[in-house]
Amino acid sequence: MLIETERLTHIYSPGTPWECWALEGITLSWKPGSFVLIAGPSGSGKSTLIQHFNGLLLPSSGRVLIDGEELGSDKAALGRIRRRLGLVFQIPEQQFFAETVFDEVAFAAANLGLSSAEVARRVKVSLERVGLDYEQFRGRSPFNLSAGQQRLVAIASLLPLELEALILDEPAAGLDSGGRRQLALLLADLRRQGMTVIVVSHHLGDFISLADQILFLERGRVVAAGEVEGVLRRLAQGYEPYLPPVTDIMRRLVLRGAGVSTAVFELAAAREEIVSWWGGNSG
Amino acid sequence: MVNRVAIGQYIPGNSFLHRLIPPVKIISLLVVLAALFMIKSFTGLGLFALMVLGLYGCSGLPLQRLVTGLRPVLYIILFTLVVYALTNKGGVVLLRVGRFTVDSLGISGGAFMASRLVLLIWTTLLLTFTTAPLSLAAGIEYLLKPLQRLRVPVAEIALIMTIALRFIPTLMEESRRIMWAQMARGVSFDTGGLRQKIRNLTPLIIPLFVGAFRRADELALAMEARGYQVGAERSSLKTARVGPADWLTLLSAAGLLAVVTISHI
Repeated sequence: MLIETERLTHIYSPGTPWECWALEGITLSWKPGSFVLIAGPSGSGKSTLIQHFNGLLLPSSGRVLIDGEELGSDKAALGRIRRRLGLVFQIPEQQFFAETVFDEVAFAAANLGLSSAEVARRVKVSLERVGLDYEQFRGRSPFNLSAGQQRLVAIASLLPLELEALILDEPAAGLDSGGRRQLALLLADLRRQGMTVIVVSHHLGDFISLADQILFLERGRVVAAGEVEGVLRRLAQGYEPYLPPVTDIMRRLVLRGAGVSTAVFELAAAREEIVSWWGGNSG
Repeated sequence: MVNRVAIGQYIPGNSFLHRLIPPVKIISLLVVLAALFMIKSFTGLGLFALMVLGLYGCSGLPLQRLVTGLRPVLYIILFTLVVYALTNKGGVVLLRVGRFTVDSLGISGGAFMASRLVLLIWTTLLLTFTTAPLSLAAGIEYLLKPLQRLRVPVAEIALIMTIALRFIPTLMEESRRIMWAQMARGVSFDTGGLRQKIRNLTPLIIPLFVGAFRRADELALAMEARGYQVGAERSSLKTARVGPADWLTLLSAAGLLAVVTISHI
């Protein structure tokens, strides 16, 4: 799914004392199948931005285009977009309402008006895609699962829509490292199947090895955007606390005179890089 | 539906009305409203309206909010006007529809009552626009204190009021978030028949209740952790003192009531 914005500006409560410019002139274009990370400090407009992509918020000025079609106030068109582009909110478990995991995940499919056999098929596929066993989980209450399982069920509850794009707002918040790893595997899997994935995250480290694009926002403006390496290079000048930990260590090594690359964000790659520099140095 | 700015919502500012202490504002409002109900002529209402608009002007409130503030009571005002016009007899017959007649006294009486209602709301909005809800609750608690002698649990009532006020925006924000989350799962809250619309409320109401109970639990725990005890005397961090402006306001309100009563305006 091609996602574009042109000079997108959003102002909350315009003309009141609470007026707040959440986004200012954001222009971007993400190709179908991209994996994009949106990062930035709290209050930088990340959540506001993604709520424009399926028309929950409409721009104060500027345009949002999905596959070239501009989002407006046409409710039927917005409904069609929402079936193709899924949005997972922060702490999505809070939207649970059904008695069983099956009903929770079936909700989106039931809203499409599908036959019950087709709904059941899609629920099964969706649960298996997030790595939960259908027979084991279908009858359980979504309220009695572990935090990590709840997060997975919440994501699975959008998958029956057979989406072309999935947007997740802080999907790793509150998960332990096991939950994070499982989430990363799921996102990698969705991406492999050609889905456009957009992840909002404070921590660039969590999903950076999957990303091919980063958008870094601050106070509603773009600080850096584009390929991962270029953005990290830009963030190394003044936004060091936001760098992935491994990248930050490499940057510090370079500052101390080591001849290593800073475009490294995984432990294994960092080790290789350091070992090869060390070897080259002593030999 | 839940995104709209609430009626009479506090507008931050630093005018003299904003700075008056809440109990003084509440008493003055009651006195001024009493004066409003003593007014007997359109001239009096006109002068009163000028005073209210003057106060709006000097407290820096957006005048357009006066119009939006009337919207929820528009039907009550129209209803008053119609009932008065149909029931008050006298003067010249202006309109005759079957058995019903509308007299000139009916129209003028209806217009008078409607104007009085409008002024009642505008004057009250002066209070809610310039007082943060929590200060308002504190002011009411202060004024109810004497009832403690009669074993009315004033502090607890005030606490309930404060908590309710505190969580209204939170719950509104939460219901908007849940609504959006369910819309992302294909629910449409504004299409379909009445039956469909009611059925669509389930995925909104259940998470909202679950969240409210969770919040209540956390709040109770947090309050206990900070030593809250039912019935215990509590002090306030901020204590307001009655200043010259407060005395002046009280005196002016009393003066207004006296003038209106004596002059039969």
